[in-house]
Amino acid sequence: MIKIFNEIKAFNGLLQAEYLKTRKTWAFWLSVLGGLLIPAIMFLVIKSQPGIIKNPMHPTPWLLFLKYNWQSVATFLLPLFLVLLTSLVVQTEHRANALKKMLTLPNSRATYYWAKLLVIIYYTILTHIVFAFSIIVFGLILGSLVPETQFLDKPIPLVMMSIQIVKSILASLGIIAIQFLISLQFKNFIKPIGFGFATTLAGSIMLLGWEYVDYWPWSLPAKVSPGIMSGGSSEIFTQHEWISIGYFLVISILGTIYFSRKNIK
Amino acid sequence: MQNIIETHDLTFHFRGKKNAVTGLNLNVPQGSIYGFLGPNGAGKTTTIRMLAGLLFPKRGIVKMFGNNISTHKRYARSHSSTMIEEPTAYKHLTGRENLEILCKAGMFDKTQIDQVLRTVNLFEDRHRKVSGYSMGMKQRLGIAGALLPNPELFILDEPTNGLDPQGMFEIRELIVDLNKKEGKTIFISSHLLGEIEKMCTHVGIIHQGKGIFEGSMDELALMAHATKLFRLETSEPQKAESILKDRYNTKLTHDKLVEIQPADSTDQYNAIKMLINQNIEVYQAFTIKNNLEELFIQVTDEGQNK
Ligand SMILES: Nc1ncnc2c1ncn2[C@@H]1O[C@H](COP(=O)(O)OP(=O)(O)O)[C@@H](O)[C@H]1O
Ligand SMILES: [Mg+2]
Repeated sequence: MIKIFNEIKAFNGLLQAEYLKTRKTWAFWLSVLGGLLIPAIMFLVIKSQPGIIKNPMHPTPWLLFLKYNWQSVATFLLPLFLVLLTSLVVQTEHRANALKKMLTLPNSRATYYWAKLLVIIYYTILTHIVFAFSIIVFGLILGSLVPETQFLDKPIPLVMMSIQIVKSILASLGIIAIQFLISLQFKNFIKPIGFGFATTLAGSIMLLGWEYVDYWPWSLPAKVSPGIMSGGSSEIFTQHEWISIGYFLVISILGTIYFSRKNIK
Repeated sequence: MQNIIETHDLTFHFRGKKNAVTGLNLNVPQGSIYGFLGPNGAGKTTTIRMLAGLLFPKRGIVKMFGNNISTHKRYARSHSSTMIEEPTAYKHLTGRENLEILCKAGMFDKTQIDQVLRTVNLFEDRHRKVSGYSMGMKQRLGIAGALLPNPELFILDEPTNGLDPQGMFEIRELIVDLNKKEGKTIFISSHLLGEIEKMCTHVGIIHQGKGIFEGSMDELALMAHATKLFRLETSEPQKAESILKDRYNTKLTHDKLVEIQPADSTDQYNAIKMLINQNIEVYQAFTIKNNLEELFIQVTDEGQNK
């Protein structure tokens, strides 16, 4: 019992350490600016062409606005963000020559592995929240600048937005687990980024119509949240989330075992 | 418990390379300052990485505090602290922030940070980013990180690398203080004999991955003085060397003197006689006391020829 308590305390300490390390790096700014980027661009587009948000099929501009935003990020930008984020977080450690120090502290390597993984998930959540928040803010600004868009007259679909965020985060887990393991393995960050870029690109092509695309981790985010506005499931756990979680658990558990036995040179 | 670190037949090789460490046996007594001495590339860092549990030996075991570290890793880690080669430092953060991270990650006492920073003379610079630190300052930050947990055993890999003479002196003082005043055991590696000589109680010499001497500092000194060197200035150094080679351990010094290790005065007399009999002119012949420096060069040279 005391052992478990100590382990939790150690994990918490490591987690805080991981946060302190990355807080002032590009990993943080990438998460914030990455979340802002597309809503800001959409804002500019709609402000110059309010017509595209008025669609008789959609009773509220919010749904269409959400759809445009999610469609723009989920196929390519979100997977790429995850690839970059994971590499940046791990790169902070490689560049500081820190593995050899961190892994001689009293904690187990497994604790270290999962603390780092969790910090990456933390930034993933952060970027999703910034994304949703920017959509709301830019929508409201649009509503006040261009009243005929009706953003101010219709309710903000907060429930649907929350579901989308959760689904998208779950669908990101597989990518994170794979990219994390690769980033840890290679000190040269070009390798994990090049790999992730290629697999993301391949995924976006597969999305055009390959039957096994549902099992391609880098394509999973595109399969969940953007579809909700056009009749996709709004259940939190569908096939795609489970596949992503499956990848995450299998890769991370194998990764932990591998990392615990690896020679740190 | 006699030895705080013990290794038996410790062996490691990197993929596709010959052994970096071969059959190494170390015995580090509790309460000692143990100098782990060897030229660059001898296998010091590789050994220390095995002591720290970063590399897994291909053969042999490491015992720390009496137990095999492969089964008692956590105990060993929480009672020792390790610093390996180029220090760990997050360059985008300040010196103090770096230590705060270590405190969080290792659950060390945060209130020690300022004290430790003062000990290594970084207190004034604690709010500066590490990217602006000199090599020596980074090294001292690494040492500060090793001091934080205040454990029984310190394992320091070339901690004075990159420091100026004043900085080296201060770190030596610090290590001797830790040992004398607080009874800590310190295992410290270096490629500089002079440094080890100045502070260590025990020494282990490693060369090309193999242990070639282990004992107290006094034993090493004794061994050094026991071996006398006899040098001869002659008209034909090369020829003289080849003549003496058959009977003595002979070498040619860089200033073209022939050097042998005589057992006694008869040996010296015989050597001179042999040369004169071969019509080589002997201008002068003299003995010198072997000092540690000579001994170190000698033993590492012998290893080279093997
Ligand atoms: N990461 C590595 N990969 C391959 N070979 C290595 C690595 N690190 C050290 N070596 C080799 O192992 C030997 C011992 O090196 P090292 O332990 O670093 O020596 P020292 O610390 O005494 O200078 C050297 O021949 C070196 O080239
Ligand atoms: Mg070294």
